[in-house]
Amino acid sequence: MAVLKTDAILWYNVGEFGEAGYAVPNWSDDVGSLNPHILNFVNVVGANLFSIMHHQDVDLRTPPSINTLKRIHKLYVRCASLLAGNAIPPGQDNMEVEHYRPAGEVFRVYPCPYFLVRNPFMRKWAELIFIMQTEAMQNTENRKEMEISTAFAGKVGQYIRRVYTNMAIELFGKEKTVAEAAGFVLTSADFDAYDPYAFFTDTELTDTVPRLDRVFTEDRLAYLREGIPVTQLPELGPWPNNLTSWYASQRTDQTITPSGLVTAAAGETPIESGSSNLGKVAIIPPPPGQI
Amino acid sequence: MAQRLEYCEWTIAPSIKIRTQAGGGGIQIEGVPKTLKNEAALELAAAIQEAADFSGGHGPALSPKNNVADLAAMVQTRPRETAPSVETTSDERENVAALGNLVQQTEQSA
Repeated sequence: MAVLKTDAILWYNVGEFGEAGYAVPNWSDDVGSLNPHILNFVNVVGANLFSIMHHQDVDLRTPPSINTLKRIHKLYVRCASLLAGNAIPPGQDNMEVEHYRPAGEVFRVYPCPYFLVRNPFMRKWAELIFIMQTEAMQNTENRKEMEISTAFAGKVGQYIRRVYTNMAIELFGKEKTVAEAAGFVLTSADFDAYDPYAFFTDTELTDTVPRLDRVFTEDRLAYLREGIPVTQLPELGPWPNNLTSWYASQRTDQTITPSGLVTAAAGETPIESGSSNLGKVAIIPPPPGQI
Repeated sequence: MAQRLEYCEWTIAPSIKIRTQAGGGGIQIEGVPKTLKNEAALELAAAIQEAADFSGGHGPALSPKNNVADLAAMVQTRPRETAPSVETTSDERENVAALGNLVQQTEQSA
Protein backbone atom coordinates (compact mmCIF):
# COMPACT_ATOMS: atom_id res chain seq x y z
CA MET A 1 0.00 0.00 0.00
CA ALA A 2 1.25 3.50 -0.80
CA VAL A 3 2.35 5.57 2.17
CA LEU A 4 1.52 9.19 1.60
CA LYS A 5 1.03 10.72 5.04
CA THR A 6 4.62 10.54 6.22
CA ASP A 7 8.17 10.40 4.91
CA ALA A 8 9.53 8.96 8.12
CA ILE A 9 10.66 5.46 8.93
CA LEU A 10 7.48 3.42 9.18
CA TRP A 11 6.20 1.66 12.25
CA TYR A 12 5.46 -1.99 11.44
CA ASN A 13 2.35 -1.98 13.55
CA VAL A 14 1.35 -5.61 13.16
CA GLY A 15 0.52 -7.60 16.29
CA GLU A 16 3.28 -8.20 18.79
CA PHE A 17 5.86 -6.81 16.38
CA GLY A 18 4.12 -3.45 16.55
CA GLU A 19 4.24 -3.56 20.34
CA ALA A 20 7.94 -4.38 20.09
CA GLY A 21 8.60 -1.28 17.98
CA TYR A 22 9.46 -2.93 14.67
CA ALA A 23 10.10 -0.73 11.64
CA VAL A 24 10.45 -0.82 7.87
CA PRO A 25 11.87 1.75 5.43
CA ASN A 26 9.50 4.14 3.71
CA TRP A 27 8.80 3.41 0.05
CA SER A 28 6.16 6.14 -0.17
CA ASP A 29 4.18 5.42 -3.34
CA ASP A 30 7.15 3.74 -5.08
CA VAL A 31 6.17 0.16 -4.42
CA GLY A 32 8.61 -1.43 -6.83
CA SER A 33 11.36 -1.02 -9.36
CA LEU A 34 12.44 -1.89 -12.87
CA ASN A 35 16.07 -1.78 -11.83
CA PRO A 36 17.54 -5.13 -10.83
CA HIS A 37 20.52 -3.55 -9.06
CA ILE A 38 18.32 -1.44 -6.80
CA LEU A 39 15.98 -4.34 -6.09
CA ASN A 40 18.91 -6.52 -5.13
CA PHE A 41 20.54 -3.78 -3.07
CA VAL A 42 17.40 -3.05 -1.05
CA ASN A 43 16.89 -6.77 -0.53
CA VAL A 44 20.44 -7.52 0.59
CA VAL A 45 20.60 -4.56 2.93
CA GLY A 46 17.19 -5.35 4.43
CA ALA A 47 18.06 -8.98 5.07
CA ASN A 48 21.37 -8.06 6.65
CA LEU A 49 19.83 -5.38 8.85
CA PHE A 50 17.19 -7.89 9.94
CA SER A 51 19.94 -10.25 11.07
CA ILE A 52 21.93 -7.55 12.83
CA MET A 53 18.95 -6.04 14.66
CA HIS A 54 17.79 -9.39 16.02
CA HIS A 55 21.05 -9.86 17.86
CA GLN A 56 21.06 -9.66 21.63
CA ASP A 57 23.18 -6.48 21.46
CA VAL A 58 20.13 -4.39 20.56
CA ASP A 59 18.71 -4.86 24.05
CA LEU A 60 21.89 -3.76 25.83
CA ARG A 61 22.80 -0.12 26.32
CA THR A 62 26.47 -1.03 26.62
CA PRO A 63 28.72 -0.84 23.52
CA PRO A 64 27.94 -3.57 20.97
CA SER A 65 29.91 -6.78 20.97
CA ILE A 66 32.65 -7.41 18.45
CA ASN A 67 30.32 -9.81 16.61
CA THR A 68 27.96 -6.98 15.70
CA LEU A 69 30.79 -4.70 14.68
CA LYS A 70 32.21 -7.35 12.39
CA ARG A 71 28.80 -7.75 10.78
CA ILE A 72 28.58 -4.00 10.23
CA HIS A 73 32.03 -4.12 8.68
CA LYS A 74 31.00 -6.94 6.36
CA LEU A 75 27.80 -5.11 5.41
CA TYR A 76 29.78 -1.98 4.55
CA VAL A 77 32.21 -3.89 2.37
CA ARG A 78 29.27 -5.68 0.75
CA CYS A 79 27.45 -2.43 0.02
CA ALA A 80 30.60 -0.97 -1.49
CA SER A 81 30.80 -3.96 -3.81
CA LEU A 82 27.14 -3.67 -4.79
CA LEU A 83 27.25 0.09 -5.36
CA ALA A 84 30.71 1.00 -6.58
CA GLY A 85 31.15 -2.34 -8.26
CA ASN A 86 28.08 -1.86 -10.46
CA ALA A 87 27.83 1.91 -10.90
CA ILE A 88 28.40 3.33 -14.37
CA PRO A 89 30.07 6.75 -14.68
CA PRO A 90 28.33 9.40 -16.80
CA GLY A 91 30.84 9.19 -19.63
CA GLN A 92 30.40 5.46 -20.13
CA ASP A 93 27.71 3.95 -22.33
CA ASN A 94 24.89 2.30 -20.46
CA MET A 95 23.83 -1.16 -21.46
CA GLU A 96 20.44 -1.02 -23.15
CA VAL A 97 17.91 -3.66 -24.09
CA GLU A 98 16.36 -4.13 -27.50
CA HIS A 99 13.58 -6.69 -27.18
CA TYR A 100 13.23 -7.00 -23.43
CA ARG A 101 11.11 -4.88 -21.11
CA PRO A 102 11.00 -5.75 -17.44
CA ALA A 103 7.68 -6.31 -15.72
CA GLY A 104 9.12 -4.80 -12.57
CA GLU A 105 9.20 -6.21 -9.10
CA VAL A 106 7.71 -5.12 -5.81
CA PHE A 107 10.18 -4.22 -3.08
CA ARG A 108 10.53 -6.63 -0.18
CA VAL A 109 11.08 -5.23 3.29
CA TYR A 110 12.31 -7.01 6.40
CA PRO A 111 10.68 -5.59 9.55
CA CYS A 112 13.14 -5.43 12.40
CA PRO A 113 13.37 -3.86 15.87
CA TYR A 114 14.01 -0.15 15.84
CA PHE A 115 11.79 2.22 17.82
CA LEU A 116 12.30 0.51 21.18
CA VAL A 117 15.91 -0.55 20.66
CA ARG A 118 17.94 0.23 23.78
CA ASN A 119 21.39 0.25 22.22
CA PRO A 120 22.06 3.81 21.08
CA PHE A 121 24.68 2.81 18.51
CA MET A 122 22.60 0.17 16.81
CA ARG A 123 19.53 2.40 16.78
CA LYS A 124 21.49 5.18 15.13
CA TRP A 125 22.99 2.80 12.58
CA ALA A 126 19.61 1.22 11.85
CA GLU A 127 18.16 4.66 11.25
CA LEU A 128 20.85 5.45 8.69
CA ILE A 129 20.39 2.12 6.95
CA PHE A 130 16.59 2.56 6.82
CA ILE A 131 17.17 6.01 5.33
CA MET A 132 19.54 4.49 2.80
CA GLN A 133 16.90 1.97 1.76
CA THR A 134 14.29 4.71 1.60
CA GLU A 135 16.46 6.84 -0.67
CA ALA A 136 17.16 3.86 -2.90
CA MET A 137 13.51 2.84 -3.16
CA GLN A 138 12.39 6.34 -4.09
CA ASN A 139 15.27 7.18 -6.40
CA THR A 140 14.48 8.08 -9.97
CA GLU A 141 16.87 5.40 -11.25
CA ASN A 142 14.30 2.78 -10.42
CA ARG A 143 13.09 3.50 -13.92
CA LYS A 144 16.40 2.43 -15.44
CA GLU A 145 16.26 -1.12 -16.64
CA MET A 146 19.87 -2.26 -16.54
CA GLU A 147 22.28 0.10 -14.76
CA ILE A 148 22.85 2.32 -11.77
CA SER A 149 24.95 5.45 -12.03
CA THR A 150 27.83 6.69 -9.94
CA ALA A 151 25.54 9.49 -8.80
CA PHE A 152 23.14 6.93 -7.39
CA ALA A 153 25.98 5.04 -5.71
CA GLY A 154 27.33 8.22 -4.16
CA LYS A 155 23.96 9.45 -2.95
CA VAL A 156 22.85 6.14 -1.48
CA GLY A 157 26.27 5.02 -0.28
CA GLN A 158 26.84 7.99 1.97
CA TYR A 159 24.57 6.54 4.66
CA ILE A 160 26.33 3.22 5.08
CA ARG A 161 29.61 5.09 4.92
CA ARG A 162 28.43 7.33 7.75
CA VAL A 163 27.58 4.20 9.77
CA TYR A 164 31.08 2.85 9.24
CA THR A 165 32.93 6.07 10.02
CA ASN A 166 30.81 6.54 13.13
CA MET A 167 31.65 3.03 14.27
CA ALA A 168 35.34 3.57 13.59
CA ILE A 169 35.46 6.88 15.42
CA GLU A 170 33.29 6.13 18.46
CA LEU A 171 34.09 2.49 19.06
CA PHE A 172 37.61 2.07 17.69
CA GLY A 173 38.96 5.51 18.54
CA LYS A 174 39.97 6.42 14.99
CA GLU A 175 40.48 10.05 14.08
CA LYS A 176 37.84 11.65 11.91
CA THR A 177 40.25 12.38 9.06
CA VAL A 178 41.46 8.79 9.11
CA ALA A 179 38.00 7.24 9.25
CA GLU A 180 36.70 9.44 6.44
CA ALA A 181 39.57 8.70 4.06
CA ALA A 182 38.33 7.20 0.82
CA GLY A 183 39.64 3.66 1.17
CA PHE A 184 39.61 3.31 4.94
CA VAL A 185 38.66 -0.08 6.39
CA LEU A 186 39.29 -1.50 9.80
CA THR A 187 41.85 -4.28 10.00
CA SER A 188 41.88 -7.55 11.89
CA ALA A 189 44.28 -5.94 14.35
CA ASP A 190 41.75 -3.17 14.99
CA PHE A 191 39.02 -5.69 15.76
CA ASP A 192 41.34 -7.76 17.95
CA ALA A 193 42.19 -4.64 19.95
CA TYR A 194 38.55 -3.56 20.41
CA ASP A 195 38.17 -2.34 23.96
CA PRO A 196 35.42 0.24 24.55
CA TYR A 197 36.01 -0.02 28.28
CA ALA A 198 39.18 2.00 27.76
CA PHE A 199 37.34 5.20 26.86
CA PHE A 200 33.63 4.90 27.59
CA THR A 201 32.15 6.43 30.71
CA ASP A 202 30.97 4.28 33.57
CA THR A 203 27.42 5.37 32.83
CA GLU A 204 27.63 3.98 29.32
CA LEU A 205 29.15 0.75 30.56
CA THR A 206 26.43 -0.10 33.10
CA ASP A 207 22.88 -1.07 32.36
CA THR A 208 19.73 -2.61 33.79
CA VAL A 209 18.29 -5.90 32.60
CA PRO A 210 15.94 -5.41 29.66
CA ARG A 211 12.57 -7.11 29.37
CA LEU A 212 13.08 -10.73 28.40
CA ASP A 213 9.67 -11.58 26.98
CA ARG A 214 10.14 -10.22 23.47
CA VAL A 215 12.87 -12.56 22.30
CA PHE A 216 11.12 -14.04 19.30
CA THR A 217 12.01 -17.50 18.09
CA GLU A 218 13.28 -18.08 14.59
CA ASP A 219 10.01 -19.79 13.72
CA ARG A 220 8.07 -16.77 14.88
CA LEU A 221 10.29 -14.56 12.76
CA ALA A 222 10.26 -16.84 9.71
CA TYR A 223 7.61 -14.83 7.87
CA LEU A 224 9.50 -11.60 8.42
CA ARG A 225 12.78 -13.22 7.46
CA GLU A 226 11.40 -14.09 4.03
CA GLY A 227 10.80 -10.44 3.30
CA ILE A 228 7.33 -8.99 2.90
CA PRO A 229 6.30 -7.39 -0.41
CA VAL A 230 5.31 -3.82 0.41
CA THR A 231 2.02 -4.25 -1.42
CA GLN A 232 1.02 -6.87 1.13
CA LEU A 233 1.55 -4.61 4.11
CA PRO A 234 -1.32 -2.83 5.84
CA GLU A 235 -1.45 0.95 6.01
CA LEU A 236 1.54 2.05 8.06
CA GLY A 237 2.43 5.33 9.71
CA PRO A 238 5.16 6.87 11.82
CA TRP A 239 5.86 5.87 15.39
CA PRO A 240 3.04 7.43 17.43
CA ASN A 241 5.37 9.31 19.75
CA ASN A 242 6.44 11.83 17.13
CA LEU A 243 6.50 15.61 17.05
CA THR A 244 4.25 15.98 14.03
CA SER A 245 1.37 14.24 15.78
CA TRP A 246 2.02 16.09 19.03
CA TYR A 247 1.90 19.53 17.43
CA ALA A 248 -1.19 18.53 15.46
CA SER A 249 -2.96 17.65 18.71
CA GLN A 250 -1.82 20.78 20.50
CA ARG A 251 -2.11 23.56 17.96
CA THR A 252 -5.13 25.73 18.61
CA ASP A 253 -6.38 29.23 18.00
CA GLN A 254 -7.70 29.58 21.56
CA THR A 255 -5.74 31.26 24.32
CA ILE A 256 -5.66 30.97 28.07
CA THR A 257 -7.04 33.86 30.10
CA PRO A 258 -5.37 35.01 33.35
CA SER A 259 -8.06 33.07 35.25
CA GLY A 260 -7.01 29.88 33.55
CA LEU A 261 -10.16 29.40 31.50
CA VAL A 262 -10.00 29.05 27.79
CA THR A 263 -11.71 31.73 25.79
CA ALA A 264 -12.27 31.97 22.12
CA ALA A 265 -10.29 34.32 19.95
CA ALA A 266 -11.99 37.54 18.96
CA GLY A 267 -15.00 36.96 16.74
CA GLU A 268 -15.23 33.19 17.41
CA THR A 269 -17.69 31.10 19.39
CA PRO A 270 -16.77 30.85 23.09
CA ILE A 271 -15.69 27.41 24.28
CA GLU A 272 -17.75 25.55 26.88
CA SER A 273 -16.10 25.09 30.22
CA GLY A 274 -16.27 21.33 29.87
CA SER A 275 -14.54 21.40 26.54
CA SER A 276 -11.51 19.29 25.92
CA ASN A 277 -9.74 22.46 24.79
CA LEU A 278 -9.44 23.60 28.38
CA GLY A 279 -5.85 24.36 29.31
CA LYS A 280 -4.48 24.46 25.78
CA VAL A 281 -1.96 27.14 25.01
CA ALA A 282 -1.46 28.73 21.62
CA ILE A 283 1.71 27.60 19.95
CA ILE A 284 2.29 31.15 18.77
CA PRO A 285 1.50 33.59 21.63
CA PRO A 286 -1.10 36.23 20.72
CA PRO A 287 -0.04 39.84 20.21
CA PRO A 288 0.02 42.00 23.37
CA GLY A 289 -3.40 43.24 24.43
CA GLN A 290 -5.40 40.31 23.08
CA ILE A 291 -5.27 38.05 26.17
CA MET B 1 33.20 -56.57 22.88
CA ALA B 2 35.23 -54.17 20.77
CA GLN B 3 35.09 -50.69 22.15
CA ARG B 4 36.29 -47.71 20.25
CA LEU B 5 37.91 -45.54 22.86
CA GLU B 6 39.18 -42.74 20.70
CA TYR B 7 38.65 -41.67 17.22
CA CYS B 8 41.35 -43.98 15.99
CA GLU B 9 41.90 -46.51 18.69
CA TRP B 10 40.03 -49.68 19.33
CA THR B 11 40.27 -51.89 22.36
CA ILE B 12 39.13 -55.48 22.39
CA ALA B 13 38.85 -57.01 25.80
CA PRO B 14 40.92 -57.86 27.61
CA SER B 15 44.10 -56.36 26.18
CA ILE B 16 44.14 -56.07 22.39
CA LYS B 17 44.62 -52.48 21.15
CA ILE B 18 44.50 -51.32 17.54
CA ARG B 19 45.63 -47.84 16.60
CA THR B 20 45.68 -46.12 13.28
CA GLN B 21 45.61 -42.72 11.71
CA ALA B 22 43.55 -41.49 8.83
CA GLY B 23 45.19 -40.83 5.52
CA GLY B 24 47.54 -43.80 5.69
CA GLY B 25 50.02 -44.49 8.45
CA GLY B 26 49.66 -48.15 9.04
CA ILE B 27 47.86 -50.05 11.73
CA GLN B 28 49.44 -50.88 15.04
CA ILE B 29 48.10 -53.91 16.85
CA GLU B 30 49.29 -54.90 20.26
CA GLY B 31 48.30 -57.20 23.02
CA VAL B 32 47.08 -60.08 20.85
CA PRO B 33 47.25 -63.35 22.82
CA LYS B 34 48.57 -66.55 21.25
CA THR B 35 45.10 -68.04 21.15
CA LEU B 36 41.82 -66.35 20.61
CA LYS B 37 38.32 -67.57 21.05
CA ASN B 38 36.21 -67.50 17.91
CA GLU B 39 34.17 -64.58 19.07
CA ALA B 40 37.22 -62.52 19.95
CA ALA B 41 38.86 -63.44 16.65
CA LEU B 42 35.85 -62.24 14.72
CA GLU B 43 35.83 -58.98 16.63
CA LEU B 44 39.53 -58.55 15.98
CA ALA B 45 39.05 -59.09 12.28
CA ALA B 46 36.20 -56.60 12.14
CA ALA B 47 38.18 -54.03 14.09
CA ILE B 48 41.20 -54.46 11.81
CA GLN B 49 38.98 -53.97 8.78
CA GLU B 50 37.47 -50.87 10.29
CA ALA B 51 40.91 -49.53 11.11
CA ALA B 52 42.07 -50.23 7.61
CA ASP B 53 39.13 -48.36 6.17
CA PHE B 54 39.83 -45.47 8.45
CA SER B 55 43.51 -45.49 7.70
CA GLY B 56 42.73 -45.47 4.01
CA GLY B 57 41.62 -41.85 4.32
CA HIS B 58 37.91 -42.14 5.03
CA GLY B 59 38.17 -39.86 8.01
CA PRO B 60 39.84 -36.52 8.58
CA ALA B 61 43.52 -36.48 9.35
CA LEU B 62 43.49 -36.31 13.11
CA SER B 63 46.20 -36.60 15.59
CA PRO B 64 45.10 -38.99 18.33
CA LYS B 65 46.85 -36.90 20.91
CA ASN B 66 45.24 -33.55 20.09
CA ASN B 67 41.53 -34.13 19.73
CA VAL B 68 40.65 -30.92 21.51
CA ALA B 69 42.52 -28.78 19.00
CA ASP B 70 41.11 -30.82 16.14
CA LEU B 71 37.59 -30.36 17.39
CA ALA B 72 38.18 -26.64 17.66
CA ALA B 73 39.38 -26.59 14.07
CA MET B 74 36.26 -28.43 12.95
CA VAL B 75 34.04 -25.97 14.83
CA GLN B 76 35.62 -23.06 13.00
CA THR B 77 34.88 -24.57 9.63
CA ARG B 78 31.16 -24.94 10.25
CA PRO B 79 29.09 -23.32 7.53
CA ARG B 80 27.09 -21.27 10.02
CA GLU B 81 29.29 -18.44 11.23
CA THR B 82 29.02 -17.13 14.74
CA ALA B 83 31.21 -14.17 13.95
CA PRO B 84 32.35 -13.40 10.40
CA SER B 85 35.87 -12.93 9.23
CA VAL B 86 36.85 -9.32 8.63
CA GLU B 87 39.59 -9.94 6.14
CA THR B 88 39.05 -7.93 2.97
CA THR B 89 40.44 -8.68 -0.44
CA SER B 90 42.21 -6.07 -2.53
CA ASP B 91 39.17 -5.91 -4.83
CA GLU B 92 36.90 -5.20 -1.88
CA ARG B 93 39.21 -2.46 -0.68
CA GLU B 94 39.16 -0.93 -4.13
CA ASN B 95 35.38 -0.95 -4.09
CA VAL B 96 35.39 0.72 -0.68
CA ALA B 97 37.78 3.38 -1.95
CA ALA B 98 35.65 3.91 -5.05
CA LEU B 99 32.52 4.28 -2.95
CA GLY B 100 34.30 6.79 -0.75
CA ASN B 101 35.24 8.87 -3.78
CA LEU B 102 31.69 8.74 -5.12
CA VAL B 103 30.28 9.84 -1.78
CA GLN B 104 32.74 12.71 -1.60
CA GLN B 105 31.75 13.82 -5.09
CA THR B 106 28.10 13.74 -4.03
CA GLU B 107 28.79 15.75 -0.88
CA GLN B 108 30.79 18.35 -2.80
CA SER B 109 28.10 18.81 -5.42
CA ALA B 110 25.29 19.18 -2.88
